[in-house]
Amino acid sequence: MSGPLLRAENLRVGFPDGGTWVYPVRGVSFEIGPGEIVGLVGESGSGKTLTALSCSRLVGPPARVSADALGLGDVDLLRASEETLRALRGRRIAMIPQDPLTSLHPSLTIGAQINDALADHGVPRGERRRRVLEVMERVGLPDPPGTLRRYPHELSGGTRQRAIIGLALANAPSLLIADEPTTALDAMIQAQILHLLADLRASWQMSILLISHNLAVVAGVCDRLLVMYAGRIVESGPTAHVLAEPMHPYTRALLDAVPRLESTRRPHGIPGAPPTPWNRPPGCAYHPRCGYRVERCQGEDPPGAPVRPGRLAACWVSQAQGALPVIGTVSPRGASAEPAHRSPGPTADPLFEVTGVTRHFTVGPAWKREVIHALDDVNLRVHRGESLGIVGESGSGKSTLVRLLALLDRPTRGRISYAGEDLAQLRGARLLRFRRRVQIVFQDPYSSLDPRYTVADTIREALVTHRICPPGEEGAHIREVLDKVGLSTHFAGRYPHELSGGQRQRVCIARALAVRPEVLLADEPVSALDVSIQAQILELFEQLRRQERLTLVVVAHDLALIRQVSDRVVTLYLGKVVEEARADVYAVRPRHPYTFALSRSVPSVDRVGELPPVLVRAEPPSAARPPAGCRFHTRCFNAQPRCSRDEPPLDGDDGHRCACFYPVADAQYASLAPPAVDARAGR
Amino acid sequence: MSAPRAWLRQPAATLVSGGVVAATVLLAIIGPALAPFNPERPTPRVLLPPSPAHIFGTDASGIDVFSVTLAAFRVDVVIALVSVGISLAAGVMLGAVAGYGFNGSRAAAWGSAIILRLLDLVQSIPVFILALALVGMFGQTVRNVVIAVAFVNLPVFARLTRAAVRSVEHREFVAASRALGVREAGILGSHVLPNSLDGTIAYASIAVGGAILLTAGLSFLGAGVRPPTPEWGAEIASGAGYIVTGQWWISVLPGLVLSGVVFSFALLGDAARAALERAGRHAVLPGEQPLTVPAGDERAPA
Amino acid sequence: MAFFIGRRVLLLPFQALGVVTIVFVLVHLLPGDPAALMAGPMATASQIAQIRTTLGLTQPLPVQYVRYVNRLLHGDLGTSWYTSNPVATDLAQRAPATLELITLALLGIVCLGLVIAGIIAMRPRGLPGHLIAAYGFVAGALPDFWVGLALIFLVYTRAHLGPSPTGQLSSHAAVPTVTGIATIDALLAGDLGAFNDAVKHLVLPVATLVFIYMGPVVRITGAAAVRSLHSEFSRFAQSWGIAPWRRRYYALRHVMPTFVVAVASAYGYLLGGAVLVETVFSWGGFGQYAVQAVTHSDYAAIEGFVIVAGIFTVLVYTLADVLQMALDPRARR
Repeated sequence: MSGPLLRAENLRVGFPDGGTWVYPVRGVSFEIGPGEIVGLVGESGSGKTLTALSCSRLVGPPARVSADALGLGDVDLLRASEETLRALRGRRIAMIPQDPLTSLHPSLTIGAQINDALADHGVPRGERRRRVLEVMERVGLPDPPGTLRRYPHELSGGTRQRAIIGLALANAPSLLIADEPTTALDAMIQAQILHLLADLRASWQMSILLISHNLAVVAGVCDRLLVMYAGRIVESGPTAHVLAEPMHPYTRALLDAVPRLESTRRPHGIPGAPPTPWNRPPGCAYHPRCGYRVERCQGEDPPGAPVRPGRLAACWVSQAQGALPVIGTVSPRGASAEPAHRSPGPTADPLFEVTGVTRHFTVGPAWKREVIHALDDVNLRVHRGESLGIVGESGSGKSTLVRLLALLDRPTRGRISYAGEDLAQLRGARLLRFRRRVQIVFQDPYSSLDPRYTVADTIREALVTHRICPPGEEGAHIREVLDKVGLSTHFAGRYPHELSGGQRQRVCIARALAVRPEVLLADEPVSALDVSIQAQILELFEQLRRQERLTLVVVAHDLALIRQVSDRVVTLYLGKVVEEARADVYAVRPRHPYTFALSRSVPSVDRVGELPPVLVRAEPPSAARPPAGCRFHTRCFNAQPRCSRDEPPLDGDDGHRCACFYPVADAQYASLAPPAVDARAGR
Repeated sequence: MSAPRAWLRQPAATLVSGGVVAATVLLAIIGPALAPFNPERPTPRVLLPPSPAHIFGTDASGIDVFSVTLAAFRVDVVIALVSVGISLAAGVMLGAVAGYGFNGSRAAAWGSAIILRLLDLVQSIPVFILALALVGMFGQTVRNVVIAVAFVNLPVFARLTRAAVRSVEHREFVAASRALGVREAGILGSHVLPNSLDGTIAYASIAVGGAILLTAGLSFLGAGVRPPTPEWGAEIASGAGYIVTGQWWISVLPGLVLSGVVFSFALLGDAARAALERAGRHAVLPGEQPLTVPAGDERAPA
Repeated sequence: MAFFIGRRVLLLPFQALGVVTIVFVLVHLLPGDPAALMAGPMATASQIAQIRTTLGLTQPLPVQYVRYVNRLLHGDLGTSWYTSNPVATDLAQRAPATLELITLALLGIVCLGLVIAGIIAMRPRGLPGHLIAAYGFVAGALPDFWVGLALIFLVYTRAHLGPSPTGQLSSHAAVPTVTGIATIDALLAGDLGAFNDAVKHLVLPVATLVFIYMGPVVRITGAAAVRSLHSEFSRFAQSWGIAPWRRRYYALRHVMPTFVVAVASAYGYLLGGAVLVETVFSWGGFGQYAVQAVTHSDYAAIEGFVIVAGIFTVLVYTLADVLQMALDPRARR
């Protein structure tokens, strides 16, 4: 076939809003060729999902879709009848939604749903069963005949996402639109799904539009990138070129905001927040946040125009100069930026001492009670002034650990002490004093503020509880603490729903800081935020750590991010500490096979066209039945018979400890890391 | 957005039902005073059809049906409001205790289980039958009608509150307050309950209508408020025998007034719920969702 | 699945015991001497004394409770002072008529309710949807006894259709009582005229019950169907090109568990509604017996019908749970 498979020209999506129309998507043009993988990148609210839905004509009333042209092959999608569109969907264009949990019918089996998809595109009854099994095989679903009869809730997250891909691909469409297909998944499963997508293109010549907020995810698989901001495409071009030399300041800023596992260069946040369709600034929508802006940017919105062959950018500066000059903090890639601030290392002054801590949860009704081994015999110290990172997959016990440290939960066995005091013994005034010294920030900024409390009320609660200041004088303290987290005073009277995610997280930090704590615990503090905002918050943590002499304990699933904020990192696997080392060691030389596999599964913006290898089976066993011996032996590439019998102790000197009999050998760094293993290795 | 404009933007149905509810409450206060005739004293003018003098006609004892209907506002609406008030207060209290975990306290878990089983037991007997039996056993007085109606409604309020409390309790602002050192009772009172009551309060309006129906039903059977006290159900019953002979107004007209009142309470409750739901939604564009992240770590199971 | 169903059914005796316990507690909360209350206002001192011994009222409460449960297990619900019959006999005589009434009403609710839910799934935004929503509200606001009276007035008094709306049969069409259900008795007697008469007597009370108690079922199911149509799985199904009819089917299939729960709770309410509707139509069933017991302070009879109604409801909920397990794999826990 010649010519593009999908062509959109000046695509607009509008919603009625009290008499006028707002346009979350306003004039988007792009093409996808046969067998091409195109990445669509942007912050949440930029209009990515609506653009994708418009390509399947799935945006229904009251929204209105218009375009100068919107074609799939020779079909005009704008004028096609509903019946034509239905026949196209699944057969020629299919979608993978973001949330695998709610996208399948809960009371029909996987097999039945794939069967229905085939039936609705005219596959005769006799052929269907064979085709169902074929599809399941292709997307790497384990044990197809067995999984066929399973209900969605019986599958794990990764398997469910494969089932969804299978359903989307059942009728062999030529274009697949994947909307954040890996955002809800752990790094190793994410890597597998990315391999699967690459594999589909290679073997089926399928075109893919991959939507993501994460540049690192698209860097590995996409041929071309479209960068979207405030409802428009601000830059497009071949992936390698766009990432090597961005032509739009926004793209460059996004790149600077990405945390990198390999380098010590700190990510930089983009100041401010992306506009909503209601408060878009005049001129170039990005100009208030832009370090390059010139006068013209405030008055005129730049159209997308070629800057170099194959490169479009909607920026007056790069259009005029043919490139973006290097200015201010936005440093060119590769140049050595400021070295990360590092504390002098652990002092001999442990604040938290975790000794033999076990936390088991019993779940289920009495006759089939299961014990979830959230944490088993964990030993750990947190020293004054350090920044400790805790990393692990979901189910590793990392959140449980931080909740135990915050005394929001109590261990089943073992002892946690803070500054020599046993937490289990704290009562009354001493307990309150501990609360004042140790504060916590949570993952979800949308649920961690009481919707009925203003920002000032929220902070005042902290001040009043600990009698930080005389009654009636809270105002000055509230202003002071808001200033510390970079919010102006007029936020004091606002309610949470009037704030953006990043602003809310700042308020949460302000609440924690209001009582002047010694330790700040943070449970996935930025994982619900956009990359540009993530970097802002990380900068804030770093700044507070210096100014307030805070001790930080940060929990996250993102190793690159953990490496940026921590001096020392602890890896948890199924409730066990498997490795503990300085943060830079993690990037270059982890010793435990699990940490090694985890670190290699992180996609990188710096490796264009290269997918992270999948070194081990992606899904961990159930925490209700942890394997005997070393808990990782069932997935480990170095496992020996001994590993299933004996449990390896956490060994090594103070700088680097690892619980493994057969740690990753020097030779393996070279042999394992670069070549990607089979995409479906993880079954 | 200013408050009055938000009010004006409500659909007409909400305004009308709100108006009727307001008028109902007003009539409960002044209704008996407005009655053109004595609603309790028989006269010889029996079974007169509706006319300008007796717009609802008269019943078999010669009592003006309109006067009875007006005077009955005080009886029915007060019984309903008081009984719903009781079940709301008691239900919220029980529901809060049954729903809130007090940071994993074992005693709270036991208390919660016991309350739940008790609610199950009460709910296993149909509402109307239980109310009828209660009134039958304890005696047919207005006070006992109020208690019976309150008792049978209580489990629903308790369950609604409990469900809301449980979902709010797992929001992170509760954990944040806990980490600040705010006492459990304080968290329950200042964070959890205020965020849990929307649905319960909206339902209370609907329940007032239900309580009026229940009271009227009991009185219709002669098991609730008894004549000569003016009451809608009793008045409908007094006309039931005359339906087949064509004197429809005695039963039909008070019933229509009763239904209008119940309907308005239900509509108002529904509008309140819808408005609260709208207020609770974040301003997220259709099609754009907040980012989801890897399904959080294991938490203390529910 | 059999395992889950078996487990659910095993719960049933405990729930029934719960109902009995509630009644036992209520009776002992009563002011005054239970024996005197049971015996009725016309009882002599020796009759009261005799009841006191039968109930074991002189013994400690736990013993009384055990005796009470034991008595019930043997089908002894006490004696009604008003009818002078054992309450169990009275109830057994009247229950079939009520069961016929509410079962037919339930069938009507299920059939009509499914049709209406289907209409909503077909046209979620159209006029039918709005009409159905309005109906749901109106049905919830009307008293069932009033609707019965209004129907009598319109159909019998005005339009002169059908037999006089009292009882299950006209007096001229008497048939021997076998089951207590007039239609079946007429068929057993081979009397088609009587059968016809019995059916005509059924129309108005059943219509009243269906009209009132289908309201909540339709409202809950309709709202759930609309939500399903706009849910994530429905949107994803559209993106793979699901056939329009199958999309509706998916939505309906998704609301079936909700429908079952709504119908089950309607069945519970129907029993209460039957009390009122039976009074309007002089049906002579279980409900009217209850009213008679209450107005005559016939305590043994009140206890009896509360226990029977409670156990009946528990049975219905068990059945609903079992159905739900069949329909929703997530309920099999």
